Amino acid sequence: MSERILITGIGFILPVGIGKEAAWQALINGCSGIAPITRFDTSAHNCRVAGEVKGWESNPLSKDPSRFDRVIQFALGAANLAIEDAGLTSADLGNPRTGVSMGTGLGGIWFAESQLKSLYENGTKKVSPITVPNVNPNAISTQIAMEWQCSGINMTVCTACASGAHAIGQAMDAMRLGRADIMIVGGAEAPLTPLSFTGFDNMRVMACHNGEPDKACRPFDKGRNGFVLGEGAGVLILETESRARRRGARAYAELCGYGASCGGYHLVAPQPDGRDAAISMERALSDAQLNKEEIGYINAHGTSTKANDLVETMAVKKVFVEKSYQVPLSSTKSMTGHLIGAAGAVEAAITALALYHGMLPPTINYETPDPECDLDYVPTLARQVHIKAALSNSFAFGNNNACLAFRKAP
Amino acid sequence: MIIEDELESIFEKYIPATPYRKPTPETLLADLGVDSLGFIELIADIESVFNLNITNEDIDKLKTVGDVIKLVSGMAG
Repeated sequence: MSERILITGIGFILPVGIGKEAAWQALINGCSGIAPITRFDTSAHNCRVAGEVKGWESNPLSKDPSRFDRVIQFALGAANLAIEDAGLTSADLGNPRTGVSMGTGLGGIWFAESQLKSLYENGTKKVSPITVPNVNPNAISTQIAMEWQCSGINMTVCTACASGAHAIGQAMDAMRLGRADIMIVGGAEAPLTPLSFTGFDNMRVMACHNGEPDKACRPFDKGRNGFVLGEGAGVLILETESRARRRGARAYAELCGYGASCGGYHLVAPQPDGRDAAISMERALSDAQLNKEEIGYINAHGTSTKANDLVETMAVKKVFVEKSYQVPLSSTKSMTGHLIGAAGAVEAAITALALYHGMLPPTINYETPDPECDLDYVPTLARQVHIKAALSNSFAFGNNNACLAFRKAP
Repeated sequence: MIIEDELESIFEKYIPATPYRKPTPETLLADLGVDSLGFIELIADIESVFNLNITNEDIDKLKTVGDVIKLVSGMAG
């Protein structure tokens, strides 16, 4: 029997707040982090709102912020916050038993864009020599390892919107196999760049409620018409129970299950009956040895697209059958926006905090019920609960699904 | 002096901010606290600012900050 794995630290850099406390307070108070985009001109776009990280200009890596892509800065910044929250020091982390597993969908896309522009406008001499190490998605896990001298497993998972969840699941498996005692896990994304934003916009998958930015993202609501991009990072510290106990660490929750699946169906559309998404939830439950009756909350993928929210509702019904209407699920993307490769990690951390505080963050902007989405989405207001276990869903482009299962900390 | 001032502001970009140690012409490049990749960026910056073409052979001969000043002054002067 492998050891239990506890979550002993959380770090957020989110559109709703920086740091675990600020972000959690915003989430349980239903505060939206969505606003008009300030970073670049969106006057010709269908969608003109997003979740930008505000009030965070700290650049831990260099005096010149343009040397490192924002995704790397988010990743390292959130990792530093999580490590501080866990009460760990470099003496705890600088060894081969500590690893890093991060997720990102687009990696250093801003850096790629800016260097491409420079190449075509100014010629080869004007391309930065550190283009490749900035654009490589694994820059995020590497920079964390460099900062804290973690010489164990190091990887960056790249499975679109499920990257962060897969990164956590893979790290948990490695720990169960005895390959690490501590894993710094999470996801980071900096997709608010002209190219990436325009690509999403032209795909017509983003919300067009520009007049009311804080109401643009309305998961499961009948009026939903797309997701809202967000940027930032979420990092968690996973620690074996024996190690956490030895140092008297506080645990937010136990990470106890991981289910992955792929629909093999479409580059971006979910499989229409949600069977592949349901498989990931079933697998997470089975891996965690949890009965569906024990699940008191699901942090939904809940993107606010017509297709995802409908199919996710169907998938939940496939798994929970008659109990579906008794399991509250909420989409915190209604407040944070969709952080793509960071989303699964951010939401895993939110799920852990929900178990720790006995409080479910709401789905905001759920105002007009959709007859096809008829579950309990925890509308508008946070809810105090006594729950033992929870799931966090991540269903990505390419039908890359991941579901994580959590128990209240022992 | 203009060349030296410009070089100083380029070096400043890559030398770790804390604790910042102002380089002198005698400072060994190996002691700047700039890693190999950062040094290549620094050279690319110099090439760009002074519109020069610094070869690998030129780079191999550089040992101190003074060597860099001499090289750039010679090429740009």
